[in-house]
Amino acid sequence: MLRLGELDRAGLGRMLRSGLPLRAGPFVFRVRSPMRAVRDAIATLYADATLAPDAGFHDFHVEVRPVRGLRRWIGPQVQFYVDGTAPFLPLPAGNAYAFLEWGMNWCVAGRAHHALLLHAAVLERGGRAVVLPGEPGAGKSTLAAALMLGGWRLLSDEMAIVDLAGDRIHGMARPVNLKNASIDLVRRRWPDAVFGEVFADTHKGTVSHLRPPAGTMPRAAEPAAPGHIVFPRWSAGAATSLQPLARGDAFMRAAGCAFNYSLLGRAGFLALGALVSASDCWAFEYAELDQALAAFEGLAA
Amino acid sequence: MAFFAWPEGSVVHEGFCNDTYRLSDEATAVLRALQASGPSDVHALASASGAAPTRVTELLQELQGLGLVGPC
Repeated sequence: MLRLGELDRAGLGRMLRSGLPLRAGPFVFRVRSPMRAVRDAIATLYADATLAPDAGFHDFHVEVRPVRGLRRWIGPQVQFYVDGTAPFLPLPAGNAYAFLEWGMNWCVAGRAHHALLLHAAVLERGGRAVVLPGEPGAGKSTLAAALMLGGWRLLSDEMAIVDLAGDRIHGMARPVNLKNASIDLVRRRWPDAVFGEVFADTHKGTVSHLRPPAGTMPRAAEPAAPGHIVFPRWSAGAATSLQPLARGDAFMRAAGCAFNYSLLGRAGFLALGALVSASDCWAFEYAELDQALAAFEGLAA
Repeated sequence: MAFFAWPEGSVVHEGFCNDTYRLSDEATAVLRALQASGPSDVHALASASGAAPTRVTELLQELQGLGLVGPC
């Protein structure tokens, strides 16, 4: 199976013009873009990713390309397309790669209803998953980055894909999207970590993507069994605290973090109930990443 | 109707309206007793759930208000 990193930049650019069959967990995206910035970001951040057979089935055909007309010259913009349609307003051209990443998440969140989709980071150790559901700002991506760089296998920093039987959790093992102060926090703690470009002034603030460690992406299609559901909350100056959470409360909080719980109806209820039944549930508050890592070592034991 | 009853609480899904409810521990006990016995009366449910008959009556009214149980 071909690794993306085996392509040189010219070869990657050619594939992006015709369609790069990029595996991301259980999905295959056919990614197209004529933009050099997108090519370079993919070369840096997806070097370890595997490519699907070119003639195989692609779940999503996505493309990021410049907006034509006057926008080529005045305030250049880019547009994201999925299966030939543009679901969003254009963004500044400098945000092209970030737009691609957001668009790929949107494709899955809006269409992959064969599974329960939780807005959650997922990591694994010893075959058991830690699911970190949380609203934006809860600190789940920062915590996911720290755990990933601390030796846990990343399944996702954004979305837990739960089988409807509730017994297996999938992820897409794509670059971790860090925002604002988290970027420098992780850079300082792990100076060898590989980041992509920094995108300032996006609708989510300043954004940069962190490359998962070698070996993460080739295992992206490997699911994990339920282990723990941890609701993180970053709070400046807080003492690290990991407290058991009643399963009834964990269920309701997780349902509130799902993209498609209501859409799935009874099937979503049964999937989430099975996941919660098979997991230990916790509320976690933290301020310091090293203390957080120590607390999670206890969960892995 | 589907539900999960854990030692630390329960949740119920009511299919007609696609609503999910988080139930108290004592409501869970009554619901579990009712599910185990089928159609029943207040005194039998009180005996099975450990709650007082007056409290069972109140809980049944609350569960009926949610559409989870009905008179027979």
